[in-house]
Amino acid sequence: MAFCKRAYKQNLVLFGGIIVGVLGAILVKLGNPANMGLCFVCFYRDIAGSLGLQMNPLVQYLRPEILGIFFGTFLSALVFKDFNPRGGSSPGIRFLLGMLIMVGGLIFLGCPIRAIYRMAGGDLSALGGLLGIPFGAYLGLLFLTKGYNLGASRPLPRWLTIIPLAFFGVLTILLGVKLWLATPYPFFSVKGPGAQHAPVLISLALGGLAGVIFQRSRLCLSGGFRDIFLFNDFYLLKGFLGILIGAFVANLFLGQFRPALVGPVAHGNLAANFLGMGLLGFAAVLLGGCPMRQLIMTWEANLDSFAAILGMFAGAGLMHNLGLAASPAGVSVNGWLALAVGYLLAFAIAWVFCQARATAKGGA
Amino acid sequence: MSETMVDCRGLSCPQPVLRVKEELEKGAPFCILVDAQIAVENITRFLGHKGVPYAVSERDGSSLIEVKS
Repeated sequence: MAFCKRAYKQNLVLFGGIIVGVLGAILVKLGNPANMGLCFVCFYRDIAGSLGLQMNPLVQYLRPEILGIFFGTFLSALVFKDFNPRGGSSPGIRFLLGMLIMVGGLIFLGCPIRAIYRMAGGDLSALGGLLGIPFGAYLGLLFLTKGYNLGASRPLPRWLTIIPLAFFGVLTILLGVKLWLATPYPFFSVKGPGAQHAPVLISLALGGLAGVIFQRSRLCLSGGFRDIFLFNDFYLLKGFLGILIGAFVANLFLGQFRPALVGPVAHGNLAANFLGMGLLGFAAVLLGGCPMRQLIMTWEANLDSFAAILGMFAGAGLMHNLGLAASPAGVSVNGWLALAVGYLLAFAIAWVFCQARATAKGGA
Repeated sequence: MSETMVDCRGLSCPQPVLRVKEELEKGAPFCILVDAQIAVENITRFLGHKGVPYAVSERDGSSLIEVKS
């Protein structure tokens, strides 16, 4: 019995990953775009489009999975007492880092979880992105080990937690209004990836389940590489492996495994895939978690993570409105420029917040 | 208590573990104060990996990890 309990505890993240992998494949079977069962970059982009922050008519939808993850995580955080209102650790910088996550993510066309889904669906171009994650995580760690620090967050009064709750509550109401009254706003794509989606209630329910799993298993992919580099600890990376196995097997069963050099809703520029995901990983380690973890922490009432989420919405708006985001056609010249500016800003933030701690230490 | 107290309350992941790693390299016993369950899990997993004995207790709503080293 004790052995079972220990094995369960040691492999919770692996089991969580397998379920998330299977969930993703099912969501694709039920209508989500290919290899996009869950994608925190794509879904934030679609929500940004739905709200009118970006007007690309192909990628606008108020993804119910994200709202489902909200309810799941929020309940899980409450039940397991991980609900801990806090904030005040450089929220402005976190907003900016959130934007940089989207710059990288929309050059690659996905978050780390989608990179695995793409691989598990047979899209070999995802390899560039998968290799980019450890590269970005390594860059972030170079600065973390030199004292990079955005400052400690402080406990907040409980009532302030109403802010993220109200924000996602309004999104849920908007989704309901759209479905019942067929209002023009929020915007929903009529064609393109934004128009491909699983039935709303199923998306909500499976999102809720994913939320509980993410919250309980502490699944974190940038964290997985970070722990390997720092401590030679492979625990969190088991989640990575779990998603790959779960999605691959489920895709095989559902007839969704289609090996190709470049899969659907993706491009084959390996350098852009590598560097895009590298920027996402770099910014994620500077933030203390990948786009998924920022969402989970938001619902554990971390207002700093909420600032990062808002930054991601803003980043998606900017990338699409200025025509910087990649598409299956590839990466534009301006897209490359955005990526270069993104790296410059990420290095600048990392450097400045190393100096800040060094100065504080020297002055003390 | 004469032991060093490492206050990791409010620090983003993985800074609490990094601070513990730094402190561990000094070799003396110390205590860590953290206020997030995930930080407790990361730190205890790290200490477990290193084979360092520790004890976790509650103190004023935060978690106190005593590292015997």
